[in-house]
Amino acid sequence: MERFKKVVSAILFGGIVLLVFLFVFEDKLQIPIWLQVAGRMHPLFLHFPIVLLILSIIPSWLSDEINNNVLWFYIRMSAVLTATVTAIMGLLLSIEQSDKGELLSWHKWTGISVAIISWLFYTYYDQFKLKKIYHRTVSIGILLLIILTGHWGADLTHGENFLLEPLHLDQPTTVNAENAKIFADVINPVFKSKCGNCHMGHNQKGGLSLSDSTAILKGGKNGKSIELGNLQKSLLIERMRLPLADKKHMPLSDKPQLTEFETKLLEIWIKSGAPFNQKLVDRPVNDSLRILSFEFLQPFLSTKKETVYSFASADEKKIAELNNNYRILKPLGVHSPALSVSFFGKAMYSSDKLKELEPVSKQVLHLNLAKMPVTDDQLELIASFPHLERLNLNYTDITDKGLERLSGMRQLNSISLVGTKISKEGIEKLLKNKNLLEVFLWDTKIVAADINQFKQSNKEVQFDLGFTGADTTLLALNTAFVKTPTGFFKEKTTIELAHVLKDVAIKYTTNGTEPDSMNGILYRTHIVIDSSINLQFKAFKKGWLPSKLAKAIFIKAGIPIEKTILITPADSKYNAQSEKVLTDLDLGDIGDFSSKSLGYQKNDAVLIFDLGSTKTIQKVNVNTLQSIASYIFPPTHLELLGSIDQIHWVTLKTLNPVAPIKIVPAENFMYELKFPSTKARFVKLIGSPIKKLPSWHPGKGQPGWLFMSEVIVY
Amino acid sequence: MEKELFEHGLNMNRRKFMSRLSIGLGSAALGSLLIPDLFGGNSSPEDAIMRGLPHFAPKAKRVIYLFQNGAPSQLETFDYKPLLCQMMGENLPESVRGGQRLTGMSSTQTSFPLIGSYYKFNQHGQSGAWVSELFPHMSKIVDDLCIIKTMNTEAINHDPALTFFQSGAQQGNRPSMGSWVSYGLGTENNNLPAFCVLLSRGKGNGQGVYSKLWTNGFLDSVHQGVQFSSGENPILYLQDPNGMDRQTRRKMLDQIAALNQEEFNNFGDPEISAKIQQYEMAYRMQTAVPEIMDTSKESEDIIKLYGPDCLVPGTYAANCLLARKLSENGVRFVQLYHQGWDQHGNLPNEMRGQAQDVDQPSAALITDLKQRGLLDETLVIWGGEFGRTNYCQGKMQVDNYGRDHHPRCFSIWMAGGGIKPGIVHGETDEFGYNIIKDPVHVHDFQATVLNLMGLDHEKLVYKYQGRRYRLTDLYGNIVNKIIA
Repeated sequence: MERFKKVVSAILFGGIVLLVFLFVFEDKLQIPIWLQVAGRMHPLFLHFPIVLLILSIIPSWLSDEINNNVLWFYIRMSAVLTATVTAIMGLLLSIEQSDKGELLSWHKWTGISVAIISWLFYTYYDQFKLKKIYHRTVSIGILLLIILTGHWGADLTHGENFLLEPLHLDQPTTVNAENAKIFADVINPVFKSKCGNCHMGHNQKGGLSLSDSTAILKGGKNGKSIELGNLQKSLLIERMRLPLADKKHMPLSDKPQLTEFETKLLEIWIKSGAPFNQKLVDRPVNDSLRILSFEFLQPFLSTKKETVYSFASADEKKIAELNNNYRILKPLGVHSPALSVSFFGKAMYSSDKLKELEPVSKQVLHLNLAKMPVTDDQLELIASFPHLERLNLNYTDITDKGLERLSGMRQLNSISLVGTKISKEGIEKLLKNKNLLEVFLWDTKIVAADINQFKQSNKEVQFDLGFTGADTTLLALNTAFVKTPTGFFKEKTTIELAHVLKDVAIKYTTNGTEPDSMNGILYRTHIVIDSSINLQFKAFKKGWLPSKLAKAIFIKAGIPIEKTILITPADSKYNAQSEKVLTDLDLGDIGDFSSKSLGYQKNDAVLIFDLGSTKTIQKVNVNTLQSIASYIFPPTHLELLGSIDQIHWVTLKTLNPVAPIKIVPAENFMYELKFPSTKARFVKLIGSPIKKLPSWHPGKGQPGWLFMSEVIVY
Repeated sequence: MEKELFEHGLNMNRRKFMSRLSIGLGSAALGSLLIPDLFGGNSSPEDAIMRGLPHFAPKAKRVIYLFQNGAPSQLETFDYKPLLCQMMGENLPESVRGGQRLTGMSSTQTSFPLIGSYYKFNQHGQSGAWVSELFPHMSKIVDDLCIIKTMNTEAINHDPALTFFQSGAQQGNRPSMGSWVSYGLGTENNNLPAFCVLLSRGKGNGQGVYSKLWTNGFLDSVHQGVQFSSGENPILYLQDPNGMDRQTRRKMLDQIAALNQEEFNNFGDPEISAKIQQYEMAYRMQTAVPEIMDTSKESEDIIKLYGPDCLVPGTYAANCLLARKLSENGVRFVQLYHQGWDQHGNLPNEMRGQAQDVDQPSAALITDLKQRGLLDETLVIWGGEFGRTNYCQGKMQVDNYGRDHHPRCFSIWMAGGGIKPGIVHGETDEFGYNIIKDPVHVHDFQATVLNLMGLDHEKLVYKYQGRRYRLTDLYGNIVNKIIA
């Protein structure tokens, strides 16, 4: 055991001597390559002495009994051994790198101290142990040294401030465009973010510091980092432009790289002679350094200065107390003392509700009283809000008399008086207030001529009269509409028409002609009909152009049809599930092809209607859908036949409807087939869909569709 | 304080206690490793937000989003490309297309003939922005608009693209933009929902809209968009049932509230008190909503400004007027959808109809807000979910052609609260196919909208199923150039 101790002591002594030797002569030494490997193990090895040393100082707080355990001796011994080895490795590493920064030298000094002091601690442990006070002092000393060394060491490897960085998260500082300086606000931030870890502050790898102009111009141990106006000779750029794989590329390949934009920015800066103290705005407008710099600064430029208010926040409890469903007080922002106040619900408003705001009158910046029954005397109260900036009095009951009271408000710059009874005189009184910037006057007695007059003495003020062209704007009315049901009726029906606007005259016809100022009947209260009509109507109003023509069909129900027989089936997609849709007295919706009508494309529609018994008939109405854009055309041919027994058929009427020659709006189209009175029980209808769509149609050449929606026999 | 402590005690029921226990110390330690700022100043992003308050002074208090559903062609509206008229019928160079994936509708085409706009363009206003003749009314207010020509998205079909625009993800089930705003800022008027939805349909080829577009996703259901319909009852289930008067309803609500309160005292679930609040809000909405829906008092000026269709419920014009009224009454986010912009064919004809629907009312909304002094605080957005191809889909004629979906560039406009007026942002190449300057991705757009509302898109976060979610997911850069 004693022998072992002696050997270790000798080794330790040798190590310390080597350490001191290396430390003193480091500048004169060349390290062989294999030793460099040992040096580079420093960052790995250093964790051992840290842990072991901390363990080995624990006994100073323990009782002697535990303290005497031989385990502590081994811990102490290995701690000193590893500390010495680590320190030697560290020195080897530092010799190899030869970066002489202040940081490194602190780290070196403390590191060596750790090794030496812990060696002394080990060697003369018995002496230290005699008195608790010595024991503890040296223990604490070692601990402090370890912490310091570790901290500086970490700064060396990870960059300065690595430890505390998260606490100093860069606040997005805003920059004022006027005062922005090229170096301080543009170039320096680039250096700081991409080069700062190794070349700023105490850390000056390669002897290069980029902290300030003197250091930058001085360069590093490999030469001048920048050569004013000469990119080729500027080492800084050369290193950045080297391929990433190149060992000399900067920043080191495992560190955040400069963006192309940043590199370009630095190049142009050097090209422009690397100005340090110049302001951006002092460079010519088209200067590329200026343009690029502003682009760089864009995110940081303060768009608007955060307003600082002279008053303190109102009591939060008071604000909460004043808030209710009809009076909302809100700060303008999280930490802003300024309040925005809005009132809602006319019925809930009274002057007391405004008066209650007095405790926060200093804080109110925006006040919205639109549509509240605010009277002139309440403006007195509002005038006592010293910091009010925006006031909305739209559609309140204020008059000229009240406005004068607002003329002394120092901060008021925007006021809305839309729809109030104020007149020119009132505004003139208000304009004594020279702080106003915007006045909204739409829907008041004020006219453009008044504004011109106001403008002469108040050039700064924006007056807004809003939309005043109602009298000169000629717009077409929208169409009137039928309030009562359209389509089928039995015996008799009453039609009511209406329009969304007031005071609209509606004229209508039932004879197929278009109503206009001369033609047509003026609609009064309702129309009563007892036969089928095709109603056409239009709306007229003074100051407006007439509406488009509107149409509605009213169809009187005919002889009941007992049974419908489809000789040819409808297309499987458009068969409405039942042939009854042809006789259900429902035309269906014009956009809905599939539920209230039968569609035919490939073959003619051949349909037989059974009236149950022989009747005298004189007319058949065939309703079809027509939607040219959807390929639904009128039939090319309609043929009507009658029969008493379904064996002998007589042709009653044929018709060849003309198709439109362009795309027209979809509509329900009715064909009236009249013929001399005939006796018949069965009526047969044949309709032919168009075989080929015309050449102007998007689907030219393809077969078109025929859609039957209702058949009525009279 | 005692009361709070007591309530807290009640809130800590057994299940909560167990689940908290199980994720106690260990997970806190692990959490601090995974989430570096867990023990920093802001303990967690959710807590960092004071509910119902903007993160910083907002430039806009409210949003009206005029969504043009189906994707209107940028080439017939705001992105003027004379080259396409000159090269009419020539094939789209492969170098321009650059491997862009196509929809199944035109990917089988053997050629991609370029087609220029059927409609003429003119410069308007002091800004000299090019606007097509389809939009005579918008042309007149172009100096109030900020036209963004370089929007781009990731999806090429309607459903994912719409969902992406609204919720920041293509798959759905995430909260819609309006819901996020409602979550971040709360409602301005306690008598109306914070997020309202209005639908209309044009005659052009349409695409569906569905309630997942205004869903609250994983947020509380109070943030869901409330759809107003054009029928007799604008909000379903809001009216008192037949035979029940308001007095009776009041009594019933009071009784339910008493029961709920009792349950809350017993169990302490905050959802119960939320429920009580919602019943009360619905009760107040019963008077607030009819007042807003009533257009009978609108002046002739207003009717002429929006066009007479603004009195026909369910039209885009009526919805624009209604949007103004809702917004004026403190609704944070009004979302309109106008369907019918999907012109795969018959484009010139269909676009004319669609433009007639939206041109005057959209411009009127801007004018109307402006004349009431509200445009400063209201952000208005007009646009679709993607753009349309510069080549013809299907058969080509000068006056009858179609365009397929195009995600790489399209045009929208924004106006009002905090937006620089009278500017055109971004540039596309002369083929109108690729962006050459200042692209604005959908996430950038979303980040910008939130920013204008005083919300930091990186802080507006909700933790759900173990992950923190944002409207902009992990992306989004605020487009500072368009902010005034």
